[in-house]
Amino acid sequence: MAAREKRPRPAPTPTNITQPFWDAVNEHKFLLQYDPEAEKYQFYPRGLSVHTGKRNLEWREVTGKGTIYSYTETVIPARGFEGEEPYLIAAVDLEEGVRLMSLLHNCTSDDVKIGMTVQLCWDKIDDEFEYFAFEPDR
Amino acid sequence: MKNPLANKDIAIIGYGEIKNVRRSGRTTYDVAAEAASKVLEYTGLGTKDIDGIATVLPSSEAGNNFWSNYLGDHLGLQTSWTQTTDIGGASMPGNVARAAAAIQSGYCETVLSIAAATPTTRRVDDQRSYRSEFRNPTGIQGPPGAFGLIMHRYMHQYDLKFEALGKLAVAQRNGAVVNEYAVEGLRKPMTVDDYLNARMVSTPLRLLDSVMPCDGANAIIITTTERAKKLGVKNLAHPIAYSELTNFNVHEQLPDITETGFSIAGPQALEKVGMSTEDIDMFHPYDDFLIAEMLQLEQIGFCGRGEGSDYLLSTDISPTGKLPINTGGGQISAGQPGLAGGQINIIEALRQLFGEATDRQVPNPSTAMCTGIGVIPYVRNWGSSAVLILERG
Repeated sequence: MAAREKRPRPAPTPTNITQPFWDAVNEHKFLLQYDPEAEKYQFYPRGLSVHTGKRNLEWREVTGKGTIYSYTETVIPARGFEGEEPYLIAAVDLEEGVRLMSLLHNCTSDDVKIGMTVQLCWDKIDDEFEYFAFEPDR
Repeated sequence: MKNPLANKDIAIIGYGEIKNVRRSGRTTYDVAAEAASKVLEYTGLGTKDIDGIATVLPSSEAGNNFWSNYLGDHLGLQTSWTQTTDIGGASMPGNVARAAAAIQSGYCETVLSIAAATPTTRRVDDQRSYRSEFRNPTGIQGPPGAFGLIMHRYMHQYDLKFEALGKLAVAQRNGAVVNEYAVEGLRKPMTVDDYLNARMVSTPLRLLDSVMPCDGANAIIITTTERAKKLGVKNLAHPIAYSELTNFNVHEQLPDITETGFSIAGPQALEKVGMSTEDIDMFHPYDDFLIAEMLQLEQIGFCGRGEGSDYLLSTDISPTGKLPINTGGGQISAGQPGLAGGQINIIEALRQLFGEATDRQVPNPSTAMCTGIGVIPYVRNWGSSAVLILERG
């Protein structure tokens, strides 16, 4: 099969809701929305708290440490990832009680395990934008 | 539990389906017209006999915020009740219940419930929300990637036997081989080894776990049982129970992604009509991926949680078996005409209930369960779960 043509990796377009989140990511900080009444975090960022329906959300910086909830090795690449296959994607439960999904770096399909501890790391999408990813917490 | 369908005053009186074709080059309106024409011919009705239309928003028309207006206009329908449903593959079973409610409320009497999509010719959907920021940039391979995550988690919690999924794939392929409407390239027999040796897409999900996208359309006509009898229709089936759940567990930030809304909607639909799974003669589940069917079997209650593999391996799921499953090939082997795929299983159930399934006829079935699945939320299992129980009239 002919190699697929490499296309640009899709970059997020920040919205009025997510602008603070992406601004922080580009400074290598990870913010979560926190509902002080429910005393719970939520992810992805929304226009209200799913716990109470109120718009009382605060952005709080978190450690970025968590454990792998599940994973998949992508063999047929997604748009913008042509030629990088195979690559690992992990669903990660952060210590703060939310689940994220992104690339898992510095780990092979032989080593990845559900329950292993990971930490956030950073990926350059292009000269202007960074994205969050994970790597084993060693 | 309240069941507005309990007295069997609603009837489905015919179906129309067209051949699934990849890259047909046709418009969504043209494939819809062919399906509409077929169901009108089946029932002996004309366009002026229809006063309601229900449809699903397909990716090939997703930029059109007047979709049901345009579709009804193209088909020559003047309607007093008009409905586009946009809960993906749950939309068409959902439309049976929505049409029944509209008919019972007196807004209309005879509904064309029609699904048409040409995603392999034209695809114009643009889903925002979390997708553009939190899905697409991660490199996850869309729905196969999401189900790869679900399958690995299932394997962590339960026992997943791939030969059980292979058996299901083979059973459905046997249906597609004798289904003239299936995508032609899929009408070749396959073996469990073919499944096991298929190329990985997003581990542990293989190419043969997945649907083949195509263009297609299908339609049914829903009216009152009273009118059906006046018309002297040759066949009818009653929708006798329906349950739907959207955004299952949305408040939970760390949900069990092996669990879905079927754990609520499945038992609830059965309870509404006082049935157990033993009363279901055949199962026509929405099948975007093989594992989705196994999860439904477990959560609706055909078997216990985590017992799906052993249930499939020990149960005859062929047309003459204990629980025939997706006898026409389902979407996995007949092709998935975009969101019109959400009515393929209803059409096959009707064909079976009407005794018109020829080479794959289930012996004298009187009940069928059809399901629908819609959307994949952020790192979760599917968002909409719909369960429809049909009974031969």
